[in-house]
Amino acid sequence: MNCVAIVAEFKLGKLDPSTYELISKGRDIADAFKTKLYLIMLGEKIDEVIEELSNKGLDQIIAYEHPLLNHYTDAYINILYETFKELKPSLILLIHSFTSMDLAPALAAKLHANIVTNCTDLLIEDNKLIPVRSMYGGKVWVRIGVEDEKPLIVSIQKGVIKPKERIELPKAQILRRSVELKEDELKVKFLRILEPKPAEIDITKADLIVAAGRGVGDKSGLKLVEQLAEALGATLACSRPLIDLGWLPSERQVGLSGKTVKPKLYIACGISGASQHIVGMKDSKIIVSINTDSKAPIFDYSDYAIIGDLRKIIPAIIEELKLKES
Amino acid sequence: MNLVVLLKQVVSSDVEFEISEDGKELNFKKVSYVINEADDYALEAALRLKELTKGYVTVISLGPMRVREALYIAMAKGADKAIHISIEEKLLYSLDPSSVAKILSKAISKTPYEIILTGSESFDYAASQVGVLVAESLGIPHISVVSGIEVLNGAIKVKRELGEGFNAELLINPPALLTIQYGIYSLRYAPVFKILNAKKRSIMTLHLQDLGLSIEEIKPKTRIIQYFAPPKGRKARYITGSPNEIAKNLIKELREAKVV
Repeated sequence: MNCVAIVAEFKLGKLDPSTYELISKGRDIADAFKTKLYLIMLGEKIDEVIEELSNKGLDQIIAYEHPLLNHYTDAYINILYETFKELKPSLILLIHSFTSMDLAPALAAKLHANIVTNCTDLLIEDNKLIPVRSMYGGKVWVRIGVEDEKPLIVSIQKGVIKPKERIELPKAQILRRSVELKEDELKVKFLRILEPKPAEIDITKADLIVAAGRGVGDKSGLKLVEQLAEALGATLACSRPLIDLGWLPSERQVGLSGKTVKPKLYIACGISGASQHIVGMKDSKIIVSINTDSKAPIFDYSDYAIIGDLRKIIPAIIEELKLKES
Repeated sequence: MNLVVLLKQVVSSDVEFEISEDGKELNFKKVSYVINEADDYALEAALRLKELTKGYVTVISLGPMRVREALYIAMAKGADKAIHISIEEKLLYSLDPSSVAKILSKAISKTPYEIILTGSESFDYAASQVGVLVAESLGIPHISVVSGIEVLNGAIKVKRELGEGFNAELLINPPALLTIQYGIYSLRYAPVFKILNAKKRSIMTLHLQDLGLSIEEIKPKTRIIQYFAPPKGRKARYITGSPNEIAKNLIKELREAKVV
């Protein structure tokens, strides 16, 4: 096996901490195959990030710095393609993100590599790499077999790899590479960042959270969940579909494209538990879920599971809370 | 403007199945099919672009006869033309995103297009690969996770979701492929009478040989070697009974745990 290469994950110009998850996984694999671990980073003003990553278990950091690399465009694809053509890694690791959804398949096409995305793990068995991923909204997991003569690109979900504590890591060799970029040669031109409206609430600070999902059905269902939050003195949050419907603002979203929360109590109402949601709430202290689908993946992450209609269960809980108070 | 939508029909989220003893297959217990939600948003975006630019929408779907239902719904919503790439269920299940992309790009290369739209992910496989692989195979630029589209003179301005409410505004020139994010617009609904009318219209059917593809050429590079039950993050205690009993038990537990 040739080397392992990681593409550092940046979000709004900052290193995303999930990069450490990749480094930990990448180090394990590189050690098992007795090969080297590289990290490629692209960005603007990345001195601090290079310094920060220089003693984290990488053999070499290859850094491209340019004002036009502050945001993801097709320039990333071209630079990484040229880098990997030369470096010839056997394995390329990325975080499954809005960026890699565009980048990883494009690299696979250009490099004629095999690709497995949105993985929950990457195992080594009999000297072979076995990507693991979930399907059908998390109702089943699968192990993937890959032709092994080609380079493999794997993107891994955020939060599924627990970075190992390591001591005495050697310093990485730093390779800064200059890059010529002309804006008019890019096919995707970056114009600007559109910021969300100033948030009115920070759900990451809440001790108690009651969250609503698509299973609320309609706005009267959402109203019930809101009433439960109120009765508990909890903060209302939600999963992605309610943002898409425009029923709640994005600041209340828990999950991959929203916030990560760790309250003392998280009550999931009508949330099926797709991995994008789970990653944002699985470290809550106590998790309660209410869902009509007995096979909903959310139950695999709950301490208390209630199979039933939230329209019947929630009013009963609110009544019970009132009863105890009086 | 010629718009092409890649539409996948998937099992609905309440699907139930059992894993065979050897872990080699899934035996479906309860299954119904729907248009993949993100692709429905891609269709919606295409229909709005059609209305703005007096465009023409072609919808393409790969699969067995069942996918024609999805194509009729798309026509009922306003798609002008539907292409069904017919393939047996068993072969479909053996394919990976790279084989699917190969088939779709062959079909698209025979269709005029300025913008190709598809969903940012599918419910069943959620690989988010096919759209970009198609674009790469056609040699056109692509933007993924699109949350807004504005047609300018010649170019299109696109919003790309970054998470936590942030978006990037980007400019791209057609021909291009966009993968569409959930919630870009609210979805229109196809009334039953329109679906019945659509069923009187014809769907163009293509087979692999019409596309000049052999089974060997679409051989998957990756395959599922084992299905298994998801690992349990926690062992849940199931609270059962009437709603009142459930409420009583739950609140008792939460009070004992001192969280409420």
